Amino acid sequence: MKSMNTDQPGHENETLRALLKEWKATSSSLPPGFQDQVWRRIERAETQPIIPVPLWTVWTNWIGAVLPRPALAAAYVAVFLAMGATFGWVQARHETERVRGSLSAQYVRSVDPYQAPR
Amino acid sequence: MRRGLTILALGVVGAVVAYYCCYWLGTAMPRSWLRNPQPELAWLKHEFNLSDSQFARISQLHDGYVPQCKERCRHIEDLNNKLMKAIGATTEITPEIERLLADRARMRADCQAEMLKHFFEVSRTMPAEQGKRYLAWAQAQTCLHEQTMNHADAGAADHHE
Repeated sequence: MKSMNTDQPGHENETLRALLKEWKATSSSLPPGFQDQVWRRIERAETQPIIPVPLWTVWTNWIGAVLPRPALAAAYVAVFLAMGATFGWVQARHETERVRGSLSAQYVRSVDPYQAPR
Repeated sequence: MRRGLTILALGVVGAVVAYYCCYWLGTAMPRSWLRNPQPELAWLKHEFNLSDSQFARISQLHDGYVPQCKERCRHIEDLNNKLMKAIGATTEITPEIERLLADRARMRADCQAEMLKHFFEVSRTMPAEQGKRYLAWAQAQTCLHEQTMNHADAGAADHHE
C-alpha cells in the first residue's frame, strides 16, 4: 500500500513540473533564429526534387530482404511450379491435337488420294 | 541476397522442369503414334478404341487396299492424260473424247465403290458402335461426300445481272 501512495496524482504532478522547468530552461538557451532556420530547412527539403529509386535497387532489395521469408519463398516456388506445369500441359494438348489432325488427314489421303481432307 | 537469388533460381528451374515434365507426359500418346511404322493406323487404333487383334486385321486390310488404290489412281491418271491430249487436238467433241470421259467416270466410280467396300470391311472389324462412327467419319472426310451443287447460286447471280 505504501508504494501506491507514491503513485498518487500529486506526486506525478510535482515530478512533471520539475521536468518541465528543466525543459523550459534548456529551450530558452536555443540560438537566435533557430525557428527560422528550421522552417528554412523544411522549405528547402520540400522544394528539392524527389530522387526516384532505381528499379534495380528495388528489385535487389526485394530479392535480398523480402523473398527469403519462408512463407513468401514457398509461395513463389509453388506458383512458378504451377505455372510451368500448366503451360506444359496446355502446350502438350495443343501438340496432341496437331498430331491427331495431321494423322487423321494422312489416313484420309492414304485411302482417298483424290480428296483433300475437310 | 544469396539466399534470395537461390530461391529465385529454384523457382525458375522448377517452372522449367515442371513445364517439360508435363509436356513430356502430355505428348506421350502422339509420340507413341509417330514411333509406329504406320502412324496414321496407330492414330486410327486410338481414335476408334481398337484391340490389338482388330488393329492387326485392319492393318492387313489397309495394306491390301492401298496398292490396289494406287493402281487405280495410275489408271485414272493415264486416262486424264489421254483426255487432255484428245481435247487439245480438236475443237469439238469426238467419239474418242466421249469414250475417254466415260472410261474415266467408270474408273472413278469403280474407285469409289472399292473405297466404300474397304470402309465397310474396316467398320465390320471394329466394335459395332465404333464401326458406325468410323463409317460416318469416313463418309464425311472422303470423296464419297460430294460437294453441294451450286446451280441455284449461279442462277440467282445471272438473274441479278
